Amino acid sequence: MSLDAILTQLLMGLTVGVNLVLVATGLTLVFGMMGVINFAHSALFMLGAYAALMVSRHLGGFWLGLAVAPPVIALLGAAVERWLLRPLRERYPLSHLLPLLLTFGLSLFFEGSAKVLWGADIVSLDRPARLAGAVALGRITFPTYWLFALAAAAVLAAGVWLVVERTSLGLSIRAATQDPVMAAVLGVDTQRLNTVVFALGSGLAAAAGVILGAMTSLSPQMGAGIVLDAFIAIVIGGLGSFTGAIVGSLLLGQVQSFGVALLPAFHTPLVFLVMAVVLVLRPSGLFGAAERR
Amino acid sequence: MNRRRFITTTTAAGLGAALFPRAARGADPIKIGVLLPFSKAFAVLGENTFAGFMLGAKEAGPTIAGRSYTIIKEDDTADPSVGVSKVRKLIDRDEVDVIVGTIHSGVAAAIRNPIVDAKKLWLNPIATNDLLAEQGCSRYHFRFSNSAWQSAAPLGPWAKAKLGDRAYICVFNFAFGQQSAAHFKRAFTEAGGTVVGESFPPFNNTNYAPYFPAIKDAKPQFVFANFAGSDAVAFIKQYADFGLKGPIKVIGPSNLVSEDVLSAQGDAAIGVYSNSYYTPSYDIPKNRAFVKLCKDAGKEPDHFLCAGYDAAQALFGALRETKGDVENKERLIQIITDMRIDSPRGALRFDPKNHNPISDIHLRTVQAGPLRHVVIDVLKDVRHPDMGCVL
Repeated sequence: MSLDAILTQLLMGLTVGVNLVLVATGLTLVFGMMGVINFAHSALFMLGAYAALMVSRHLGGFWLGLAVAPPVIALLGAAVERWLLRPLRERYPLSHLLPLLLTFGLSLFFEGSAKVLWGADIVSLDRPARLAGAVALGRITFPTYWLFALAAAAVLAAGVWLVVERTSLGLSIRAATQDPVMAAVLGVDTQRLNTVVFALGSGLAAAAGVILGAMTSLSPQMGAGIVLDAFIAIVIGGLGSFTGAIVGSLLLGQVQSFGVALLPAFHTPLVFLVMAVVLVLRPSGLFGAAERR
Repeated sequence: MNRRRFITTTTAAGLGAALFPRAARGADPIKIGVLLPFSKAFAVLGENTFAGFMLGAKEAGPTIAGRSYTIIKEDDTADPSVGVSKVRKLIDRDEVDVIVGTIHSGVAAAIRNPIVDAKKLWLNPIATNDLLAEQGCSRYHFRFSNSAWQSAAPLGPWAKAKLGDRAYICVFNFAFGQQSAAHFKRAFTEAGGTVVGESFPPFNNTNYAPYFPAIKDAKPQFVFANFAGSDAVAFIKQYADFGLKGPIKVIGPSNLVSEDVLSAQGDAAIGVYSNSYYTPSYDIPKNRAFVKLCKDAGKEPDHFLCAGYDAAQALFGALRETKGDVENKERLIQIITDMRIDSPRGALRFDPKNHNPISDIHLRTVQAGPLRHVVIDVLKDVRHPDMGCVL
C-alpha cells in the first residue's frame, strides 16, 4: 500500500467518521436520558435529506436546503418527543418496550409517507458547482465535496461538543444522561431537557442526511445502513456517553476504511469483531458507565 | 368446453368449420396470470414490465380470433416465498392457462418447479438466472431478457479489443454480481486480457471510496463494475468524485447505468460503457413506433417495457395462429420456438436448445445533453452457451 493510498484512506475514514458522529450523538444522548433506542432516527436522517431536496428544488439551492432542513427536522423531533414519547412514558413509566415500539412504528410511518410523497425512485440532491472537482492536498488529491463534508460535519460536531462540555445546558445534559432521577432531584428540568436533546439529535441526523445524501442518493430507505453503523459506534463507545459516540464513530470510520484496503474479503465481519473485542474487554463500552440501570 | 367444441365443429361441418373454428364463438376466456413485483424495492421495475405487456395486449385487441382473455395480476414483492404461494394461487385457484413473470432471479428459481410441474406455458420477461437456460431449463419456459451470462460474457472480448488488456473487477457481493464477474473474467482472459485485481463490496453499500486507492494502485485500463439501484448511483458518483473516471474507464451490464438510475447519477455517468438488448435511442422503424407508443401512454421506454411488450407479442401472436386455442400447449410451444419477433430491440428469436432469447446486444456509452445511451457497437445474435439443458 503506497503512502498516498494510506493518506487517502485516512481522510476517507475521517470524512465518514465525523458524519457518523452527527448521527450517533442523537442516538446516544436520547438513550442516556430516556433509556430509549430511537428506531425513528434513520427516518429523521432520511427526512432531513428530502427536506433539503424540496427546499433546493423549489426555493433555491443546496445551501438554503442545508440551512433549513436541520432546524425543521429538529422541530419535528421536538414534536415527537413532546406529544408522543412523553405522554407514553408518563402513562407507562416502567415500560422500556412501549417507547421502543413507538419509535419503530414512527420509522415505518415516516418511510411510508416519504414513499407516498416523493415516490420510491432514486433521486439525487444536486451539489453546488463550487464544490465540484478535486483539490490537491500535498501529495494527494481529494474531492472538494468530500473535504466540505468533512469540514462541515467537524464544525457541527465541535459546536455540539462545546455546548455539551462547556455550557450550563451541557452540564445539565451530562448530569441527566448519567442519572436522570438524581438530576431531576437536584433541580434540572429533565422534561424540557428531553425535548431539547431529542430536537438536537434529530437536527444533527438531518444535517448528516443532507451532507451524505448529496454524496450518494436519496431513497426512503437511505437511513438504514448509516444508523446501523452509528449504533455499532455507540455500543463501542459506550451507550449513553457523548465522548464515547465521538471516539466510537471516528474509530469505526477508520476500521471500515482500512478494513476494505487491508482485508478486502473480511472487512464486513471485521467491524463486528472490533465491537465484540471491545465488549469482552469492557462490557459497557469504552466510555460507558458500568451497570447504571 | 369439449362438448361445445364437438357441437360447433359437427354442426358447422366442412367449409364452415374451417372458416369459423370453435374458438371463435363463446369459448371460456383465456386466463393469463401475471406475476411481478408491484411493491417494495422492485415496484417500479414490475410496473414498467406490466405496462409494456399491456401495450402489447392493447395492440392485439380485446379478443384473439373471437376468444376473449382476462389478465390476473399478482404481486410477488420480489420475495421467493411470496412468489411460490402466489404462483400456486394462480395455478390452483384461478386455473390460468399462461403465466407471465417475473423479475427477481431468486423468485424465478422458486416458481420454476410449480409452473413446470403444472405444465403451464411460462413467459419470463426479465429474470436473468442462468439456471433457467442450463440444468433448470424447461420446454415450458421462454425468456425475453438476457441471461446473466449474456449480460456479462460478451463484454470480455469487446473490452479486450476496445478498452485494453488490464481489467479490474468490482461487483456487489451476491449471486448476480459473482456470476457476472466469473462470466466476464473467463471471457476476458480467454480473449487474452489480464484481470489485475478484484473487490466485492457488500450489497446496499453507500461508501465506495475505500475501494478506490487499491484500484488506482493496480493500474488497470478499465473497471468491470456490476451494481444496481442506489448502489449503482453511489458507485458511479464517487468513482467520478475521486477522479478515477477519466483515466480508468468503466464498463458493466445495463443495470449499472439503466434509465432508473441514470438521472440520479447525472454527469458522473457520462462516458460509462454498458450493454443491453434494448436501447431507447436505437434507430430502427419498429423502435421509433415503440417509443411513440410508450410516450403516448405516459411512459419512458426502457428494457423492462420492451421485454414486457415482446412477451405480449409472442403470446398473442401465437394465440392468433392457433385461432385462440390455448389448450394445445405443445402447439403453442412449437409456434413460439419457431417465431421471429419484430421487437423494438431488432429481430428476436428463441434458441431451440434452451428457449433463451437470441438477439443483438448493443454496446452503448452515456452521452450528455440530455443524458442518454448511444449505441456504438452491435454484437449480432448473441446466444447463451449450451450447458446441461435438456428440454
